[in-house]
Amino acid sequence: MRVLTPIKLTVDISQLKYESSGEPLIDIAPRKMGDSDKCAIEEAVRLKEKHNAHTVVVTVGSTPDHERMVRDAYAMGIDEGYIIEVDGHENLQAVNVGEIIASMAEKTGPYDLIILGAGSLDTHSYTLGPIVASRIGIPIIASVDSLNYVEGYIEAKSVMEDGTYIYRSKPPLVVTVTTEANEPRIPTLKTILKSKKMEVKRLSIEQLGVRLEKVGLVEVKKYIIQRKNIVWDASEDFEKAVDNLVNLLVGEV
Amino acid sequence: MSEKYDVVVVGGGPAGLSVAYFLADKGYTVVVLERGLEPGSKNVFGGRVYSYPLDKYFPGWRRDAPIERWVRREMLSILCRENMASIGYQLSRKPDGHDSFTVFLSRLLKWMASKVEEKNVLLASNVRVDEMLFRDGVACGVRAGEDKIEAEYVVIAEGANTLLLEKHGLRGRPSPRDIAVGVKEVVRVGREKINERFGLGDEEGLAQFLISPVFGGGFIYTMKEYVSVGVVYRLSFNNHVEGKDVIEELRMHPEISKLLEGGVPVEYSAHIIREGGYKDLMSKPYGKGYVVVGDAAGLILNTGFTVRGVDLAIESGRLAAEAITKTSPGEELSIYMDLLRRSGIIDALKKFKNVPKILSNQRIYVEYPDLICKLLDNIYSVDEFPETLNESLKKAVKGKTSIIRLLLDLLMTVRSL
Ligand SMILES: Cc1cc2nc3c(=O)[nH]c(=O)nc-3n(C[C@H](O)[C@H](O)[C@H](O)COP(=O)(O)OP(=O)(O)OC[C@H]3O[C@@H](n4cnc5c(N)ncnc54)[C@H](O)[C@@H]3O)c2cc1C
Repeated sequence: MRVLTPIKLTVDISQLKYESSGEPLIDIAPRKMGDSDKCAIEEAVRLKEKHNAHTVVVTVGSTPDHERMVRDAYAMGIDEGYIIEVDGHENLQAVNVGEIIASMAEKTGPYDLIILGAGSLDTHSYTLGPIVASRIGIPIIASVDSLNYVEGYIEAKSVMEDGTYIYRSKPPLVVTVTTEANEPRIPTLKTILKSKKMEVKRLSIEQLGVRLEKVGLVEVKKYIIQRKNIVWDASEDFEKAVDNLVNLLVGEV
Repeated sequence: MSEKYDVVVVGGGPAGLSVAYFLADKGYTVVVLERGLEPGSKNVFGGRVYSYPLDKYFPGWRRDAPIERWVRREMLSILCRENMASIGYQLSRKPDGHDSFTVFLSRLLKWMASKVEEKNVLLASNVRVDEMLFRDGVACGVRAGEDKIEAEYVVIAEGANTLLLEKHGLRGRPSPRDIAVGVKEVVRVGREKINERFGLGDEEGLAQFLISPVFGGGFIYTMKEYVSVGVVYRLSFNNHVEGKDVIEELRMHPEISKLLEGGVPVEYSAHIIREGGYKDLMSKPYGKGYVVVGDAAGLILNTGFTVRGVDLAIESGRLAAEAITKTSPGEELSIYMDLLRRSGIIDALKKFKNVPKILSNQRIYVEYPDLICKLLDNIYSVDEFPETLNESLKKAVKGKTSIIRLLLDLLMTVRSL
């Protein structure tokens, strides 16, 4: 079995700082591998341990941080890693990234399973998995909380609000996993040292024959919470202001 | 199976990276183990590095090192309650000898790490070393988690918090009197505003040392777009304040807040500083198969006006590397101490050996700054009838401290600086 795990370098939103105007300071925010990507790697490595899968990662972008991320994947147990060289990787839209990953999968594959993190930390669009699946033309099981390989079938469980769904599909297919899927392993000294000596392969989008679609982001709208802006002056009659507030809150429920 | 290298270095700070650099240069196989996510992620410092070791060992560094600004303006300031008293020294051009520059330590270390990796050193981050390994009294490797690494030589470059050395009884726990906490904030102010507010050219930087009756010592360094402000407070006399509060105190001071106005704090960090000075220097920073470099060995110089740690860390790293090349595996690395002595580092530390005493004297930080503020206040608040200097002084001193004591302290300070 061959398993591909695309991983993304994302803005570490837990470390995001803001301008006094409220604008986030994206340029100085640290970057890291997304949390659900780590879970995807963990699933791939478990398939390697249980079913002797050959595991591959790919990332789009070629900064030193990308290389570090591929090595982190090696330290977790991944066998082979690719960096796709492309300019302006942070401005690429999911359609383009999906096209790049699908082409990469066709060129270096075939793969029985493509495991992705369900949503990335920064954009959270949940679209990459479906795009890759439809572009290659294979099924997808999305937002999976646990994954098994049983007698030639991938069996995936997905816990939803209205119940737990269990899907079965024959490979090849795409699976996206949530951060509930597992507890990603922490690399050890030995695996880290080994990861330092492994080769990181590089491919350019020209080598993949990818022509980037001219897709651009038109606008991002902030999610604005409408405030009611009800203000009571509590300096005169504190008790009354409290009563007003309580009444209002009771009325809301 | 355990892997074997010539040298294993614990700690990827300036000291550890420089040992690795010099040894790899001589053909040794070296692995550096760093607990942080990457080199530089766990190191805290104010902002200024002296150029001389880089001039000596990293030819061409001025071209590619991540220098922020060259220090051309030095200031010593006393923060009074609302006002500030300063002495400034401006250099209109590069000094004749070596100079100093402001830099983010994290970036300098990333840069050093790239130089080290070019020489085929294995740099493994996210690895915490749990213990040193010994065989027949000779250091022979380290253990991290379940994994062991064997090496002919072990270099301890773990920084000021010497947990590993203490664990093996190679160094005692420092007394709280000799420990200070450095708290730093980096504020994005913008290049133009910095130039304007601090009176600097594009490449010119400021290094300012602060004395405050409220929190003790502090510093300001200007980067290109950022200002680094920090406080160094002694646990022994400020033990009821918290780092966050002191730095807040500093930022809110009217004279400081003017400089930082509109800026966005983008980084906050804290670290211990050993301020024991000469007496905190390890008398035997080596043994069979191991050497101790940088802050871990006590190689940090606080002259009262500046903290010098990075340059000594690099220098001691080079000397440790030389000692290793001259000592067979399994033998005492005593040459290292000889090299440190010959280099003048030990003498320099000795020369400033009384500084810790002064820095731990509360009067220096609290009473005298207060007194100077009062004095200046009296002199410069012009009333109808002027006071003589003597009258002002008497008024300022009143009820605070005796003039004799003041003179004695002054004498002691002058003699030790
Ligand atoms: C607030 C403050 C301001 C300062 N200002 C200046 C200044 O302006 N100029 C100057 O020259 N110096 C300054 N210094 C001092 C300077 O930062 C230090 O002297 C210098 O960083 C020492 O280098 P080092 O390599 O010995 O130790 P460190 O820089 O502390 O590096 C030690 C490294 O070892 C790692 N480590 C520790 N234990 C383990 C373990 N068990 N396993 C794996 N890794 C481990 C740590 O993560 C760390 O990266 C300042 C210090 C402070 C705290």
